[in-house]
Parts: sequence; structure tokens; C-alpha cells
Amino acid sequence: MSNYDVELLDAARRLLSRRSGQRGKLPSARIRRSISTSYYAIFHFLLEEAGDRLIGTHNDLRRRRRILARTFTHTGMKMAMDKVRGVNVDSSVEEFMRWPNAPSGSLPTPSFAQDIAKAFADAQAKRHDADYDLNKALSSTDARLTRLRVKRAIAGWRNATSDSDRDFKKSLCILMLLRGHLRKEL
Amino acid sequence: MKAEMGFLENRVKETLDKTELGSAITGYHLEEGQDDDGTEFLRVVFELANNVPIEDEKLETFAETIEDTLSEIDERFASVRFSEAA
Repeated sequence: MSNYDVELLDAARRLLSRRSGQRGKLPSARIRRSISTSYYAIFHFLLEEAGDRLIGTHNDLRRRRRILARTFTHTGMKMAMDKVRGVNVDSSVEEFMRWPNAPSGSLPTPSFAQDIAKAFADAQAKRHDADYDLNKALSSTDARLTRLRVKRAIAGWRNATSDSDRDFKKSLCILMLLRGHLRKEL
Repeated sequence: MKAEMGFLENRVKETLDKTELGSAITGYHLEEGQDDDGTEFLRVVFELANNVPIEDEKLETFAETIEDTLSEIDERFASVRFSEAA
């Protein structure tokens, strides 16, 4: 299942492709399927990241990673992502997310985390309309931009490899598992 | 915190006026939305002119500027969309 997000993004792209000489608007079903597929690309990417970071990457652990993946919810992941969507990490989780020895006070959100959180919120909102509300029009431009944004956000996450980046990613994966909420006393 | 829709619309107009996209966008509207889990968000829909080509990168940058502008005054995520002329 490695690079499943790449396969999904490729499928989202192919849904928007035209045959040579084909003109006019794309069928709505293809636009909506493309948006939904781009959303699932970022959703599954984050599930795989959580599995790798919280369970481990060894092949023997694949079954355990997949069991863990089943415990995540769309709403819980969005609630976690909402905590890191701003310029600063939400105050309710900033101590949890803080890199050891980092200065106290407001905790700036790393740009890779902010980008993926925004891309997730954007793709999820559009996917909701794409899958459940046919009264809400979505265009091929929306589908194209959603796919591009998801692709860039995933690439940005992959390129963030410093020790503090890795620590932030692991903390964020735990926060996704906790559906964005810590107990007050933490 | 939630802002009045009229106030949000004014901020969208101000942001649009500051961009180079003027002739490419023929109108816009905002509406309140809700996910199936009850989470509220905003739909911000811009109507694209059909005879003014515009690069995806410019639209992406514009959409993110609108998101950031509205996030300063409203907690709901601003989901920016572009409708294409028939």
C-alpha cells in the first residue's frame, strides 16, 4: 500500500483528462469523483504516516498499522488538523506539540504542517459537497486546484525532515488519534 | 468567533480589488455550509469569465489569500471555489 496517495492522485488527474480534440465541460461525475479521490489521497497519506510513525515501518508490522488506521475518523483528523491550521498552534495543544527545549510562549506552526492542515480542510469541505450535495456546483478548476494543493502539501510534508519536523509530525499523528483533544490536565 | 456575512463579503471584495484578477472574475457570493458531522464552514464562490485565461497558480494564490483573510475574522474554514461560465 506504499504510495497509495500517488496512485489516488494519478486517478484524480486521469478523471480530469480529455481526449485529443475533446471540448466543452467535463461531466459532473468525473469532476466530483476527482475531488473525492484527491481528498482520499491526503486522508490515506496521513493514515500511512500515522501508522509508520506510531507503529513502525517494518513489513511485519503491516497488519498492526492497518488495524490502527481503522481507528481514525474523518472528523477526528479534521479536528486535529484544525489545531495546526493557524500561524500558531492552537493554545489547547501547544505544550503537547512543543519540541523539547523550545522557548515557551506561542508556538509557531511549521509551514509544512499548516499547509497540509489547510489542504485537508479544503479537500474535506469540497469532498463533502462532491459526494453528498449535488446542488452545490463544483468545477473542473476546483478539481484541478484541489488535486494540485493536496499533491503540494504531501510533497511539503515529505520534504520536512529535520529532527524538530519529525517530532512535530509524530505529535500531530498522536493528536489525530486523539481526535484533536487532550485532557485538560495535560 | 463568527462574523456577519455582510462583513465577510466586504473583506472578500477588498481582497479581490487588490488582486490582478479583476477581469477574470465576474462575480462572487458567500454562503454558510455544514459538514455531515455538523462542522460549519463557508463557501466562497467566484465566477470565472470564460474568455479570460488565467493560470492555476494565480488562482491557488488568490484562494489561499481569501482563506487567510477570512480566517482572521471568522473561525469557520473558508472553502474557496471557482465556477465556470456555461
